[in-house]
Amino acid sequence: MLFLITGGNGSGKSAYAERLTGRLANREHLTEKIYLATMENRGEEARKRIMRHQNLRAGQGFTTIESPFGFTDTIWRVVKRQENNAVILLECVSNLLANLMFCAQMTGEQAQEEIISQICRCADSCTHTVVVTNEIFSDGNLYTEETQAYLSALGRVNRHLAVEADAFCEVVYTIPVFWKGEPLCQF
Amino acid sequence: MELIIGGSFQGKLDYAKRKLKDRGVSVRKEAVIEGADWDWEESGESMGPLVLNHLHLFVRKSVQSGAVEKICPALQSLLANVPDCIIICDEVGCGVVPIDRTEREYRETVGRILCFLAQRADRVERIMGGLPLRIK
Repeated sequence: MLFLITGGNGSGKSAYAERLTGRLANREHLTEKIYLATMENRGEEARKRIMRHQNLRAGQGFTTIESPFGFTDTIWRVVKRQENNAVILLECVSNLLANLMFCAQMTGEQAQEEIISQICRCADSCTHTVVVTNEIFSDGNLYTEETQAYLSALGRVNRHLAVEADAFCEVVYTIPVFWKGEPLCQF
Repeated sequence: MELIIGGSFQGKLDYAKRKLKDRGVSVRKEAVIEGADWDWEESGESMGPLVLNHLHLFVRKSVQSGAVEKICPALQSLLANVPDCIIICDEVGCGVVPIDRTEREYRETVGRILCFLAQRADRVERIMGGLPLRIK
Protein backbone atom coordinates (compact mmCIF):
# COMPACT_ATOMS: atom_id res chain seq x y z
CA MET A 1 0.00 0.00 0.00
CA LEU A 2 1.03 3.59 -0.58
CA PHE A 3 0.58 6.19 2.15
CA LEU A 4 1.02 9.91 1.48
CA ILE A 5 1.54 12.20 4.46
CA THR A 6 1.54 15.97 4.22
CA GLY A 7 1.50 18.93 6.60
CA GLY A 8 3.07 22.32 7.23
CA ASN A 9 6.40 23.11 8.84
CA GLY A 10 6.66 21.74 12.36
CA SER A 11 3.28 20.00 12.12
CA GLY A 12 4.63 16.67 13.38
CA LYS A 13 4.24 14.96 10.02
CA SER A 14 7.65 13.23 10.23
CA ALA A 15 6.97 11.82 13.67
CA TYR A 16 3.57 10.66 12.50
CA ALA A 17 5.01 9.03 9.38
CA GLU A 18 7.58 7.20 11.50
CA ARG A 19 4.89 6.02 13.87
CA LEU A 20 2.76 4.83 10.99
CA THR A 21 5.74 3.00 9.49
CA GLY A 22 6.36 1.25 12.81
CA ARG A 23 2.70 0.35 13.13
CA LEU A 24 2.62 -1.18 9.65
CA ALA A 25 5.81 -3.15 10.29
CA ASN A 26 4.57 -4.51 13.63
CA ARG A 27 1.13 -5.36 12.37
CA GLU A 28 2.46 -7.41 9.51
CA HIS A 29 5.64 -8.71 11.11
CA LEU A 30 7.91 -6.98 8.64
CA THR A 31 11.38 -6.81 10.12
CA GLU A 32 12.88 -4.01 8.03
CA LYS A 33 12.12 -0.31 8.16
CA ILE A 34 14.06 1.55 5.51
CA TYR A 35 14.33 5.32 5.80
CA LEU A 36 15.23 7.14 2.59
CA ALA A 37 16.72 10.45 3.70
CA THR A 38 16.67 13.14 1.04
CA MET A 39 18.15 16.15 2.79
CA GLU A 40 21.66 17.02 1.68
CA ASN A 41 24.06 17.48 4.53
CA ARG A 42 25.11 21.03 3.73
CA GLY A 43 25.48 23.88 6.17
CA GLU A 44 24.84 24.26 9.86
CA GLU A 45 21.06 24.49 9.65
CA ALA A 46 20.74 21.33 7.55
CA ARG A 47 23.04 19.50 9.96
CA LYS A 48 20.90 20.51 12.94
CA ARG A 49 17.72 19.51 11.17
CA ILE A 50 19.19 16.16 10.18
CA MET A 51 20.36 15.55 13.75
CA ARG A 52 16.88 16.33 15.08
CA HIS A 53 15.40 13.79 12.71
CA GLN A 54 18.09 11.21 13.52
CA ASN A 55 17.29 11.61 17.22
CA LEU A 56 13.59 11.19 16.48
CA ARG A 57 14.30 7.90 14.73
CA ALA A 58 16.91 6.69 17.21
CA GLY A 59 16.10 3.33 18.71
CA GLN A 60 13.22 2.69 16.34
CA GLY A 61 15.21 0.28 14.20
CA PHE A 62 15.30 2.22 10.96
CA THR A 63 17.96 1.51 8.36
CA THR A 64 18.80 4.93 6.94
CA ILE A 65 19.90 5.31 3.33
CA GLU A 66 21.06 8.69 2.07
CA SER A 67 19.12 9.32 -1.10
CA PRO A 68 19.19 13.01 -2.05
CA PHE A 69 18.27 12.15 -5.65
CA GLY A 70 15.81 9.40 -4.83
CA PHE A 71 16.23 5.82 -5.89
CA THR A 72 19.61 4.99 -7.41
CA ASP A 73 20.52 1.51 -8.71
CA THR A 74 22.15 0.71 -5.38
CA ILE A 75 19.00 1.70 -3.51
CA TRP A 76 16.81 -0.32 -5.84
CA ARG A 77 19.01 -3.36 -5.10
CA VAL A 78 18.60 -2.88 -1.35
CA VAL A 79 14.86 -2.33 -1.72
CA LYS A 80 14.52 -5.34 -4.03
CA ARG A 81 16.21 -7.63 -1.48
CA GLN A 82 13.73 -6.52 1.18
CA GLU A 83 10.64 -5.82 -0.87
CA ASN A 84 8.42 -8.36 0.87
CA ASN A 85 9.83 -7.72 4.26
CA ALA A 86 10.12 -3.96 4.59
CA VAL A 87 8.25 -0.73 5.00
CA ILE A 88 9.88 2.04 3.01
CA LEU A 89 9.68 5.58 4.38
CA LEU A 90 10.74 8.36 2.02
CA GLU A 91 11.16 11.80 3.52
CA CYS A 92 10.49 14.13 1.92
CA VAL A 93 9.33 14.90 -1.60
CA SER A 94 9.99 18.64 -1.30
CA ASN A 95 13.73 18.07 -0.63
CA LEU A 96 13.98 15.47 -3.33
CA LEU A 97 12.35 17.80 -5.85
CA ALA A 98 14.62 20.71 -4.88
CA ASN A 99 17.69 18.49 -5.28
CA LEU A 100 16.59 17.26 -8.69
CA MET A 101 15.69 20.74 -9.95
CA PHE A 102 18.36 22.90 -8.40
CA CYS A 103 21.33 20.49 -8.04
CA ALA A 104 20.71 18.00 -10.85
CA GLN A 105 19.38 20.83 -13.06
CA MET A 106 16.25 19.03 -14.17
CA THR A 107 13.24 21.05 -15.29
CA GLY A 108 10.20 20.98 -13.04
CA GLU A 109 8.45 18.62 -15.43
CA GLN A 110 11.38 16.21 -15.70
CA ALA A 111 11.79 16.18 -11.94
CA GLN A 112 8.09 15.64 -11.21
CA GLU A 113 7.89 12.73 -13.67
CA GLU A 114 11.07 11.22 -12.22
CA ILE A 115 9.70 11.36 -8.67
CA ILE A 116 6.28 10.05 -9.63
CA SER A 117 7.75 7.10 -11.53
CA GLN A 118 10.23 6.26 -8.74
CA ILE A 119 7.59 6.30 -6.04
CA CYS A 120 5.02 4.40 -8.08
CA ARG A 121 7.63 1.75 -8.90
CA CYS A 122 8.50 1.44 -5.21
CA ALA A 123 4.83 1.21 -4.24
CA ASP A 124 4.32 -1.49 -6.87
CA SER A 125 7.17 -3.67 -5.69
CA CYS A 126 7.12 -3.18 -1.90
CA THR A 127 4.53 -4.20 0.65
CA HIS A 128 4.20 -0.70 2.09
CA THR A 129 5.58 2.66 1.07
CA VAL A 130 5.12 5.76 3.21
CA VAL A 131 5.92 9.09 1.55
CA VAL A 132 6.18 12.43 3.32
CA THR A 133 5.57 15.61 1.36
CA ASN A 134 5.14 19.24 2.31
CA GLU A 135 2.30 21.74 2.41
CA ILE A 136 3.77 25.03 1.18
CA PHE A 137 1.00 26.34 -1.03
CA SER A 138 -0.95 28.79 1.10
CA ASP A 139 1.31 31.71 1.98
CA GLY A 140 -0.01 33.96 -0.78
CA ASN A 141 3.43 34.84 -2.14
CA LEU A 142 4.02 35.21 -5.84
CA TYR A 143 7.55 33.93 -6.24
CA THR A 144 10.10 34.07 -9.05
CA GLU A 145 9.43 31.95 -12.11
CA GLU A 146 11.89 29.32 -10.91
CA THR A 147 10.18 28.97 -7.54
CA GLN A 148 6.70 28.97 -9.10
CA ALA A 149 7.89 26.11 -11.33
CA TYR A 150 9.06 24.28 -8.21
CA LEU A 151 5.70 24.82 -6.48
CA SER A 152 3.83 23.72 -9.58
CA ALA A 153 5.90 20.52 -9.82
CA LEU A 154 5.41 19.74 -6.12
CA GLY A 155 1.67 20.30 -6.49
CA ARG A 156 1.61 17.98 -9.47
CA VAL A 157 3.52 15.24 -7.61
CA ASN A 158 1.21 15.57 -4.59
CA ARG A 159 -1.92 15.38 -6.73
CA HIS A 160 -0.67 12.37 -8.64
CA LEU A 161 0.42 10.53 -5.49
CA ALA A 162 -2.82 11.40 -3.69
CA VAL A 163 -4.71 9.64 -6.48
CA GLU A 164 -2.40 6.62 -6.42
CA ALA A 165 -2.26 6.42 -2.63
CA ASP A 166 -4.41 4.11 -0.54
CA ALA A 167 -4.41 6.76 2.16
CA PHE A 168 -3.66 10.49 2.13
CA CYS A 169 -3.26 12.23 5.44
CA GLU A 170 -2.63 15.83 6.44
CA VAL A 171 -1.02 16.16 9.85
CA VAL A 172 -2.30 19.28 11.62
CA TYR A 173 -0.13 19.85 14.70
CA THR A 174 0.04 16.14 15.55
CA ILE A 175 -3.59 15.46 14.55
CA PRO A 176 -3.84 13.19 11.50
CA VAL A 177 -6.65 14.33 9.18
CA PHE A 178 -7.39 11.66 6.60
CA TRP A 179 -8.43 13.09 3.23
CA LYS A 180 -8.54 9.57 1.86
CA GLY A 181 -8.42 6.11 3.43
CA GLU A 182 -8.87 4.98 7.00
CA PRO A 183 -6.95 6.38 9.95
CA LEU A 184 -4.47 3.67 10.87
CA CYS A 185 -3.02 5.09 14.01
CA GLN A 186 -3.05 8.15 16.21
CA PHE A 187 -0.04 10.35 16.76
CA MET B 1 -22.99 29.19 -5.05
CA GLU B 2 -20.24 26.78 -4.32
CA LEU B 3 -16.91 27.86 -2.95
CA ILE B 4 -13.73 25.89 -3.63
CA ILE B 5 -10.64 26.89 -1.72
CA GLY B 6 -7.17 25.50 -1.08
CA GLY B 7 -3.49 26.17 -1.63
CA SER B 8 -2.06 26.91 -5.04
CA PHE B 9 -1.39 24.05 -7.48
CA GLN B 10 -3.83 21.67 -5.78
CA GLY B 11 -6.12 20.97 -8.75
CA LYS B 12 -9.07 23.17 -7.73
CA LEU B 13 -10.15 24.13 -11.26
CA ASP B 14 -9.84 20.54 -12.50
CA TYR B 15 -12.03 19.47 -9.62
CA ALA B 16 -14.68 22.10 -10.43
CA LYS B 17 -14.69 21.06 -14.08
CA ARG B 18 -15.01 17.37 -13.15
CA LYS B 19 -17.96 18.26 -10.93
CA LEU B 20 -19.76 20.14 -13.67
CA LYS B 21 -19.06 17.34 -16.15
CA ASP B 22 -20.49 14.77 -13.72
CA ARG B 23 -23.64 16.89 -13.53
CA GLY B 24 -23.87 16.88 -17.29
CA VAL B 25 -23.14 20.61 -17.54
CA SER B 26 -21.11 21.40 -20.62
CA VAL B 27 -18.67 24.16 -19.76
CA ARG B 28 -18.06 26.59 -22.55
CA LYS B 29 -14.65 28.17 -22.55
CA GLU B 30 -16.07 31.64 -21.88
CA ALA B 31 -17.98 30.32 -18.87
CA VAL B 32 -14.72 30.12 -16.94
CA ILE B 33 -13.32 33.55 -16.12
CA GLU B 34 -9.93 34.24 -14.60
CA GLY B 35 -10.03 36.55 -11.58
CA ALA B 36 -7.22 38.64 -13.04
CA ASP B 37 -9.31 39.27 -16.18
CA TRP B 38 -12.71 39.70 -14.58
CA ASP B 39 -14.18 43.15 -15.15
CA TRP B 40 -17.69 43.03 -13.80
CA GLU B 41 -18.45 46.67 -14.58
CA GLU B 42 -17.63 46.17 -18.23
CA SER B 43 -19.77 43.07 -18.41
CA GLY B 44 -22.53 45.31 -17.02
CA GLU B 45 -25.75 43.63 -16.14
CA SER B 46 -25.05 40.63 -18.36
CA MET B 47 -24.70 37.21 -16.79
CA GLY B 48 -21.53 36.56 -14.87
CA PRO B 49 -19.22 33.58 -15.33
CA LEU B 50 -20.29 30.10 -14.30
CA VAL B 51 -16.85 29.51 -12.82
CA LEU B 52 -14.82 32.35 -11.39
CA ASN B 53 -11.28 31.03 -11.05
CA HIS B 54 -8.43 32.58 -9.04
CA LEU B 55 -10.68 35.01 -7.17
CA HIS B 56 -7.61 36.04 -5.14
CA LEU B 57 -6.15 37.60 -8.30
CA PHE B 58 -9.29 39.69 -8.75
CA VAL B 59 -8.89 40.83 -5.16
CA ARG B 60 -5.22 41.50 -5.75
CA LYS B 61 -5.97 43.63 -8.78
CA SER B 62 -8.67 45.52 -6.88
CA VAL B 63 -6.39 46.20 -3.91
CA GLN B 64 -3.57 47.37 -6.14
CA SER B 65 -5.83 49.75 -8.02
CA GLY B 66 -7.48 51.08 -4.87
CA ALA B 67 -10.86 49.57 -5.72
CA VAL B 68 -11.37 47.38 -2.67
CA GLU B 69 -14.87 48.70 -2.04
CA LYS B 70 -15.97 47.42 -5.44
CA ILE B 71 -15.20 43.76 -4.67
CA CYS B 72 -18.31 43.00 -2.63
CA PRO B 73 -20.77 44.63 -5.05
CA ALA B 74 -19.14 42.71 -7.90
CA LEU B 75 -19.55 39.41 -6.09
CA GLN B 76 -23.08 40.25 -4.98
CA SER B 77 -24.04 40.93 -8.57
CA LEU B 78 -22.45 37.63 -9.62
CA LEU B 79 -24.40 35.75 -6.93
CA ALA B 80 -27.61 37.44 -8.02
CA ASN B 81 -27.05 36.74 -11.73
CA VAL B 82 -25.59 33.25 -11.48
CA PRO B 83 -26.79 31.71 -8.21
CA ASP B 84 -25.30 28.32 -9.11
CA CYS B 85 -21.82 29.62 -9.90
CA ILE B 86 -18.61 28.10 -8.59
CA ILE B 87 -16.04 30.43 -7.09
CA ILE B 88 -12.47 29.23 -6.74
CA CYS B 89 -9.89 30.96 -4.59
CA ASP B 90 -6.41 30.26 -3.28
CA GLU B 91 -5.94 30.35 0.45
CA VAL B 92 -3.24 32.96 0.89
CA GLY B 93 -3.28 33.71 4.60
CA CYS B 94 -1.00 31.02 6.00
CA GLY B 95 2.30 32.82 5.84
CA VAL B 96 4.21 35.45 7.77
CA VAL B 97 2.35 38.78 7.69
CA PRO B 98 4.13 40.79 4.98
CA ILE B 99 5.94 44.04 5.73
CA ASP B 100 4.56 45.67 2.59
CA ARG B 101 1.27 47.48 3.22
CA THR B 102 -0.40 46.53 -0.06
CA GLU B 103 0.59 42.87 0.39
CA ARG B 104 -0.87 42.92 3.90
CA GLU B 105 -4.07 44.49 2.68
CA TYR B 106 -4.30 41.97 -0.16
CA ARG B 107 -4.10 38.94 2.14
CA GLU B 108 -6.41 40.41 4.74
CA THR B 109 -8.97 41.30 2.06
CA VAL B 110 -8.86 37.82 0.51
CA GLY B 111 -9.58 36.42 3.97
CA ARG B 112 -12.49 38.79 4.62
CA ILE B 113 -13.96 38.17 1.17
CA LEU B 114 -13.75 34.41 1.71
CA CYS B 115 -15.56 34.80 5.05
CA PHE B 116 -18.26 36.77 3.22
CA LEU B 117 -18.57 34.08 0.54
CA ALA B 118 -18.34 31.09 2.89
CA GLN B 119 -21.30 32.48 4.84
CA ARG B 120 -23.35 32.66 1.66
CA ALA B 121 -22.15 29.44 0.01
CA ASP B 122 -24.35 26.37 -0.24
CA ARG B 123 -21.25 24.27 -0.09
CA VAL B 124 -17.60 24.90 0.71
CA GLU B 125 -14.90 22.45 -0.23
CA ARG B 126 -11.21 22.55 0.46
CA ILE B 127 -8.89 20.85 -2.02
CA MET B 128 -5.56 19.27 -1.16
CA GLY B 129 -3.60 17.00 -3.46
CA GLY B 130 -6.54 17.10 -5.87
CA LEU B 131 -8.90 15.67 -3.24
CA PRO B 132 -11.90 17.50 -1.78
CA LEU B 133 -12.86 17.84 1.86
CA ARG B 134 -16.31 19.30 2.36
CA ILE B 135 -16.24 21.77 5.22
CA LYS B 136 -19.72 23.22 4.74
